[in-house]
Amino acid sequence: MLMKSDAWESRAWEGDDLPGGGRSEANRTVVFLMIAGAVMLFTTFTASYLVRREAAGWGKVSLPAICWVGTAFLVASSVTMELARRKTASARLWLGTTIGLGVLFALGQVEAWRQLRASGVTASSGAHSGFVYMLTSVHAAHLAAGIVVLVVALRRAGRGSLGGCAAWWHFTGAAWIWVAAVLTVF
Amino acid sequence: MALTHSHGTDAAHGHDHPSGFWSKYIFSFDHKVIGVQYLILACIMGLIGAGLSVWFRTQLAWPGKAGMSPENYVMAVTMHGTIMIFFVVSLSLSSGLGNFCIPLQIGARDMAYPLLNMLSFWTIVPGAAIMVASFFVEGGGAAGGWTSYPPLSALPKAAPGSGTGQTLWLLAMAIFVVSFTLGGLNYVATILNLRARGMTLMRMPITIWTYFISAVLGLLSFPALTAAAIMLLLDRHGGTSFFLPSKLILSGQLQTNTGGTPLLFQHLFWFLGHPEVYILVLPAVGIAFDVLAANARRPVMGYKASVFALWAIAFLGMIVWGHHMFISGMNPYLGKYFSISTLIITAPFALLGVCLLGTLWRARIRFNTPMLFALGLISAVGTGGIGGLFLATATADLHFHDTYFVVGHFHLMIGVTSLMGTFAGIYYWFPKMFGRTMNETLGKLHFVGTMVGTFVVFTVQHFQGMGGMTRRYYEYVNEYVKPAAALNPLVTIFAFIAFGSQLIFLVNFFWSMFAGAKASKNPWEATTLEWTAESPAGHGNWNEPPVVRGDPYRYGEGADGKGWKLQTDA
Ligand code: HEM
Ligand SMILES: [Cu+2]
Repeated sequence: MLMKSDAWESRAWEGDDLPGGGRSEANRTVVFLMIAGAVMLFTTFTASYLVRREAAGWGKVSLPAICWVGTAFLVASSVTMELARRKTASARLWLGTTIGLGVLFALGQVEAWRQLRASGVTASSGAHSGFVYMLTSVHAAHLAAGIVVLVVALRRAGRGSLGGCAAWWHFTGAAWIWVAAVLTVF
Repeated sequence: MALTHSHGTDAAHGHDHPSGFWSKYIFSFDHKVIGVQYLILACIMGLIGAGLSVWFRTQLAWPGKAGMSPENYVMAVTMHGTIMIFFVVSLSLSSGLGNFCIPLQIGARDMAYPLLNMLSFWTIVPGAAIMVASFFVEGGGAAGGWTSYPPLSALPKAAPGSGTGQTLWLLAMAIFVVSFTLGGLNYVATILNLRARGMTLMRMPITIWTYFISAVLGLLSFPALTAAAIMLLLDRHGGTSFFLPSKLILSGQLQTNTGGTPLLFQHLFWFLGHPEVYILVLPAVGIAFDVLAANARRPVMGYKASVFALWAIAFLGMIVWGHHMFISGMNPYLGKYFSISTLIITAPFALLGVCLLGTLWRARIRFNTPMLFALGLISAVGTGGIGGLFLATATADLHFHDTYFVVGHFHLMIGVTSLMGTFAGIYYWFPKMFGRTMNETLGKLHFVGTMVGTFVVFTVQHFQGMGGMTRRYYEYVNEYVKPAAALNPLVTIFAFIAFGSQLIFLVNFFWSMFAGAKASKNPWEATTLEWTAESPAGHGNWNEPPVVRGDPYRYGEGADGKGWKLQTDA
């Protein structure tokens, strides 16, 4: 991804016959590690949530209905992402659709925040609403990173595998379901 | 020079060769240059961090003579701890030496992501600058301790340093975490995927294992701090009550927060904090292994056992954080668990110690400067570890917690051990960095000053702690603590000796860079891969990809009475 020039991609140095699989494996390693780190992040938030809800001033609110529409968009976008990854011929089309669905989800998220505010729910109005804003925003940041990566991938579609992008995208989808479930169930 | 393909010519690939001052020394992609940049930044921050300790040690020894107010005092210890851990030890040992030696020791021509690597360095520079700048804002720098527990850190009006100083502290730490995380990604990807042909995992020098393990630890534990920092920021600026409890009274005013729990922050902080200390100590131990083997002329004893012990330490290190909170309030059963799991860590640590010492068994040791520091490291790990045993016992910790016993313990570990490892590494790899060797006489002087200075300071602090001297106090006025506090001038004098010795190091480091004796390719007759590259190695490290044919520590092998073999030798 972040290379200096073509000469650095010399196969003699970083070919896939290296014991660790060479450069093409490195991108995979990085995506895997980033997912592992993000899982730790959401786990920490979840643990904090479970601790904090035992104490005073919890004030649970429910997610606006539009969040569930967004969930459907994200699930659909995981399907189109898989299509992009498998069908190299129409990869661009499916990638574009995935990005579109992701953006739709993000817009829904903004609308959800607006509705919450309109009904007087702010980050400081209760501990639960603090978690609602915080967790949805942290998730949105991960999703935004995913969109940026997909846009880059769209520009260079056809070259290289989409495995890493797909893994991250599915992760952001799963993370959303995780976040939404925690915020609703507990 | 380096980056030509087997079929290429220099002219065809001229754009790979950094030309000009800026691309060669400032915005270089070369991991070796970046490593040295980190080292130099760490030297600057080290002067500031250590300078702070000279200031507050003067106050402790001769109260009132240092021109220091109580507010200054808590700020100075807070900033000293933060700067030393995150901007000196992390930057020199993890980022500096790690960058320098990872590609060289595994046979890669650079990190997996050279641009990212350069960006990591140039991210941390503003971070360091912001940390330093926070001294000069209204109210001064952060003063809530390097652990920045709320409510001191969460209420901007809690104390002088809790305002802008604390905000800048959080900002600088956020930058640090970003930079360090990017660095960690690069380390893991490089070590896992770019090893040279023949370099299987079990042929990697132990130094590489330790950088690998500590990068993994960092990637898994820093997110907890990130989460804690986000919540802390929201508590500070967003009006939330994650960590701020009900009924807090500040300057006679009841705060509006309800139900937050400061204990939660402590758990999150130490979930990172404990692994962080291993992140910093493991590479030091790894370097010691390499240096010991080279100067004892013997293969590392128990290579596999050491690798196993390192993983065990890393794993256990992630589940023991509660030992920092025995008296913050926790269920006694939980305390028992944290006590026992912490005590279990001493087993793999002891195993490492046996392997380190076993490497010296019947060896004809060369007592050069890197070796002296490696030996000093063994002593520091052992001494600090013994203190750890006491602290891990919850009942004993009731007395020791938050006293100078803890200060002595963790300085021997995170301070002396890590820095001994760093110095061993710097003296050892200096020829590879600059093609020159550092001055041996000055090096030995540096070692003696460091060893004597730090050991007196930190062992005596254990006894002061037992005598009831609590930490983070500006002055000790109670009768019961007078006998312990009477040792303060002694401690301070030896602290000055330790500080002065670091100045010798700085002189030696910068002077040798330009005027040290010229070094050959392999001045220590060592066996690992980096010694097959030129001294100093060019951008790209080797012309042809090296091929590894054996274990990393091939001492005692080889024909013709030579007694050692390079890792690339058949
Ligand atoms: C033999 C293994 C070790 C054991 C059993 C051990 C145990 C402990 C315990 C129980 C404490 C908490 C004491 C208290 O606050 O009351 C502590 C503090 C600490 N230890 Fe260790 N430790 C060990 C190794 C290390 C290592 C290897 C390092 C660093 C490289 C380290 C760094 C620290 C630090 C930084 C603190 C305290 C920080 C603070 O309170 O500000 N320890 N240790
Ligand atoms: Cu600990």
